[in-house]
Amino acid sequence: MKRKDRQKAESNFILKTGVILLAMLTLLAVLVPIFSGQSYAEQNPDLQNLGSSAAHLFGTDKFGRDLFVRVWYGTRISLFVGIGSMAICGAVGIVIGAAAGYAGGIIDLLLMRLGDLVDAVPSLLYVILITLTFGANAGSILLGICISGWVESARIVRAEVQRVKTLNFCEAARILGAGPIRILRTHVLPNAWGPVIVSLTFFIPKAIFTEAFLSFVGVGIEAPQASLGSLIQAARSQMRLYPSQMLYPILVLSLLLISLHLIGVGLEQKGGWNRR
Amino acid sequence: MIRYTGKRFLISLLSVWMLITVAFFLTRQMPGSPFQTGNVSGEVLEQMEQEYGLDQPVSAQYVTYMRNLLHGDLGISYMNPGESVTEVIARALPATLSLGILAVIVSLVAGTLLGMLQAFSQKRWVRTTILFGTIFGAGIPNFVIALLLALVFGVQWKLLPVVGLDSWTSYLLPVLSLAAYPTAVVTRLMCHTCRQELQKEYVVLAKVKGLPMRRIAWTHVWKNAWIPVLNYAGPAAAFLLTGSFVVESIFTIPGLGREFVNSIANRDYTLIMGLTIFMGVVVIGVNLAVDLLCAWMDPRIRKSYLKDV
Repeated sequence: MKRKDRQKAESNFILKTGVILLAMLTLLAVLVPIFSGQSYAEQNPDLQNLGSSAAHLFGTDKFGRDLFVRVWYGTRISLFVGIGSMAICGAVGIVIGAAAGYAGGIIDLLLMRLGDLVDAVPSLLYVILITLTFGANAGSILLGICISGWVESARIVRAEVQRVKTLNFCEAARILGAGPIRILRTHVLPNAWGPVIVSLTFFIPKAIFTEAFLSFVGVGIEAPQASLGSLIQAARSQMRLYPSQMLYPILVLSLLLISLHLIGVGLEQKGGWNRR
Repeated sequence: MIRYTGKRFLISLLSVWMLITVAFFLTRQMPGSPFQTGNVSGEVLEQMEQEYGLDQPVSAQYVTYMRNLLHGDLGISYMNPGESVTEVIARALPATLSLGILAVIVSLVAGTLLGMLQAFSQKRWVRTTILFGTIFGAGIPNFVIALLLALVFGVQWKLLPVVGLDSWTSYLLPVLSLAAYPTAVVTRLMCHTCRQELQKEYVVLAKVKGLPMRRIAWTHVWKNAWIPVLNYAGPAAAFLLTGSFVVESIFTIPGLGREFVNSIANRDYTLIMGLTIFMGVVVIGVNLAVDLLCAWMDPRIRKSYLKDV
């Protein structure tokens, strides 16, 4: 019993740390671009490569743009991509998984084999092709991530639906005249929520990583817009002279991803839900 | 087993075909022609397009491309007309392959050991340290790790080389930055399945027989816990191939990843398409091999799959 309590305290601590960290980062990402006097694109030739000061907390880059504003602007794009793709892929995955599990037969076969088909290829390859074709912006990154992003939550929901649909309480609901949507909503999904939420929590950092990775490689968010990945790439050429320009976006990106992983691990331990 | 192999093979083949088709048609839609440099006149442009077969309808181009592909011909690089895509792959593959294999070995060994340590250790600080290690390892992106390692060990302390692959010391930093994430994932998987296995009856029986925990872990548990790790080989191959884009660019290693990033910068469409298809096929192949291996080792897996279908 004692060990169980300690485990619970540990997972609570991990979860809490993650949530507080994420809340702070989100708050800064939302508020700084609104309330700061500088814009993310404003160049000032007199203020190039400055260190940290009261006016420019993270200093300025080689075009004299304020890095504090740019970093938090980039965080905002990261959060948008992460949460947006999680919402889309989660919704699509739940609907497809539920439909496949409930219908069974040929529909199930087609939907899940389609999932196998798109899931077999590294999603980054699809994302790169799509950003090259439809332009480098948050929309194409979202589209690219969602091509294969729905598969994991669809598999979880489908397995849960298949397990639950033959159990007595579902039979009872059906005999009482409940339709498939009502059964899914009130009887099946509440059982599946735990694993789905854990899987989607780990999906957000994956999506954020994808965006940062693409922007770092040069096919992500286009200049002059700032993304954490492109900020790191831009500062790389001067990393010997001005390492701080690279370290600030690195720090924020890492903290963001770690906070999301903390939340995921905390939820996983707390509920005893494991992925796969 | 034959039926299972056939079905898995068919799915893999379809995946490859879908990837090729998507890659082909998206590449044809990409904005700008590779020859539009401004200093080429209309006549020369037409002649060049004719030479590359770009004047034909897209469907005819698709048929030609597929036919050449079946002979192992991925086309000619637009930017380097002397070099075919196959030659580029042959030239760049060894570096990427050696890095990737080393990273796989490191992450499998380290991940298995750390995962079992986390599952079996009686000391709380050991478990907590490994847990936070996996969170950091999985959270921090590979290019960030590579940049920080290059900055600290290469630029500040000048301990290790950060350019090329000349001696064994220059393998250390790239392999470390590639292996961090897979190590974290393998550790997590291993620890998780070990804990699940510990609840099973054969472990209880071994305990009752009086076997020490160490013996139980090394002779019984780890073999069962390794199947999920084996299943992770496909995603790991995908991660290592895409990870090579950034790691090879940061450490200037002449491998597939750097070729890919350069081809994106040059908008060298045939090369982008060829490398995408090649990498996709590699990952699909690894996935297929692992699935067949697991099904061969554990008949329950192929049974549940066939029942599914």
